[in-house]
Amino acid sequence: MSRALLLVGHGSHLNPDSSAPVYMHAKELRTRALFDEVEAAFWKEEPNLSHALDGIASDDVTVVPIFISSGYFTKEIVPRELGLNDKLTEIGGRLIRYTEPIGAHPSLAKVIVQRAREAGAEGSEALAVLGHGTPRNPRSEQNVYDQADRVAQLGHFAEVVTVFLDQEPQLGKVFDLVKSQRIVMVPLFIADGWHVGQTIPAELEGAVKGLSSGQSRLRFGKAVGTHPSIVDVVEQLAEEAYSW
Amino acid sequence: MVEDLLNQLLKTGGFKIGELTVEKTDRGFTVMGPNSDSESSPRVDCEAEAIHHKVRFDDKERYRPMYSAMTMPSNWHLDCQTVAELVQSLTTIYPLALEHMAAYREGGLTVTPMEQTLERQSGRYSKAAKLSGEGRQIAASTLCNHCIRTPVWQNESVEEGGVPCPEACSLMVAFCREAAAWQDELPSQAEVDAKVDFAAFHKSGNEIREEYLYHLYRDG
Repeated sequence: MSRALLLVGHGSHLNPDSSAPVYMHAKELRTRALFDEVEAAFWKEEPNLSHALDGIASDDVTVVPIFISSGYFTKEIVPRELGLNDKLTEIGGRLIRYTEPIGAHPSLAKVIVQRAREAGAEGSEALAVLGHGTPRNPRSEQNVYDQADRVAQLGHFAEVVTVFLDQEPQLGKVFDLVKSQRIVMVPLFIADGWHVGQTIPAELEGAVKGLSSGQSRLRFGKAVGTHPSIVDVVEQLAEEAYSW
Repeated sequence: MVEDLLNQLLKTGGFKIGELTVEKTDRGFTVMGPNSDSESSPRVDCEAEAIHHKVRFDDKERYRPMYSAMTMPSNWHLDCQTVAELVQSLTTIYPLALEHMAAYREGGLTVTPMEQTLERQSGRYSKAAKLSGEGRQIAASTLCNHCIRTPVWQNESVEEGGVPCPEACSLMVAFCREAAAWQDELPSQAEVDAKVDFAAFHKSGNEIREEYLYHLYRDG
């Protein structure tokens, strides 16, 4: 039986960088030759989710959402657009396996730690996990908190806190939440898009106003979703799904 | 199905698909963008990432979220050695175009009416379903005229060698959402501003927006 892997992401009508991580991970996964086909589809770019399966010939398709939250998109949009009923759906004689998003998998915690180290963390700092959050869906925050808890359990940092862009506690409050003088913030985002590299650093700059230019109190890491190790998370999700 | 389609298309030695020209050569196949030739136009590596990078932006350096938009950058070509490379290249440039063409030829293309697409939207896009029938017609004719695909979901027939569109895309849904809002408060028209992103329908000067508004104002 032929197997396909379909990575699904949000994409963007306005930002070309949004889908870049999905394409990057798909390319790497093709080189690993674990699947007969590896394809990508998006909510807001071609190929759209609603016809993503049209380009796949395999009988067994595993769909892995490249999302952080187990919320609106992964619980409602993606299943609706792909025609999925549950974790396992039969469509046109094919078996479609639908996993949790990468943001829910325990192994993502190690990627957060790697990003923190790449940003210069040595272990005595406070780690701040930055999530997007939304006041519209209380489920959105859960994976962020869960990942922060997992990172804390790994024991690599003096403190681990969670802050958000769009809900409380807001990211500017990070200085109130930690005791450490040195903080490393890792964005639990998929892409280095609108927020990372643009909006977020501007907000942080405002929040750290008053510190001397030579004082490096806060270091900012790259988005988790662009780390090469994400393909390992995807692989684990796919292999776990194959055992259902 | 795709292989059969390609064999058919290549019978005459070459074919056009969307804004591309494909020619059979002694060493395989050449794919050319608009206003291009294989002698003088710069060559793009026949590799997915290089092709993806080439067609990601138009000649005005605006992002192309819809690969099927008639905004393909011009003056480039690529050389494929095998049919498999040709398929991969065309799939990178026009995702699912070959599959949909093949399915349409076989009578097996699944088509979704616009009403169904708009009615199933949720969240911020649920407003798209409020667009009137007239608005939907104008939206379809406006946006789809900028696309290489023929909207079969509008009951249009596809010409020989044309690329069918089985369902209104995410851009159409987003545009219908904007147009539905204009039903409440009609914005004033503006000159088309070539610097405005193709999909920035909310911005004054966006070419799709201004074309739609032109129809509305003209037809009263």
